Amino acid sequence: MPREKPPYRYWGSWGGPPWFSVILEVTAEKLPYLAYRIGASSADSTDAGCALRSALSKEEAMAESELYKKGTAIRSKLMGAKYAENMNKSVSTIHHEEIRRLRREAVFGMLWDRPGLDLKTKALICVVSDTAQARWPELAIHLRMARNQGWTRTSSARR
Amino acid sequence: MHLCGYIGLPSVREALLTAKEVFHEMRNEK
Repeated sequence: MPREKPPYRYWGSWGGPPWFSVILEVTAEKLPYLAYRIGASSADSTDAGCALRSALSKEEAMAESELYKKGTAIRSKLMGAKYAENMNKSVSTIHHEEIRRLRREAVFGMLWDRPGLDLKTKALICVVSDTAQARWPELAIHLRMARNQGWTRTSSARR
Repeated sequence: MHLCGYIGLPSVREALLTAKEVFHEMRNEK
């Protein structure tokens, strides 16, 4: 009598149980964060990390373009200089330096600097958009920006 | 509050709670 095949039809084509793909997805989602944590600790403690860090020093990584300078100015204006400075200190790895530069140039230097709407209106749009999409961590940052742009507690609550 | 009709009260409530935290944080910074 031929051996019966095990009931793999619910296990997907590669033979794993259905919940395993969920675990894989969640792990893949967390990977950048895990890599960041591992990178941050190894860059601080190991020789390789130190060498890598000195090879691409902060000054080198932050070769400031005009767009970058403009972005930095707008960012400080929106967030408040002290808060923006504190956020700078919290980022340490080289990958984050690159992302930071991109974000500073593209988001703050180009997007926030576009003509047409003033910063106050743009800040409110971000607050509304974050609320509509349930982006709570981003909302906290954008609320701070809106507050710094002159929206009061009462006026922002009404909207 | 104006957004309640468009995106629903739970999200707006959550947003207001976030706002409360942020404003509290900003008050403490000063």
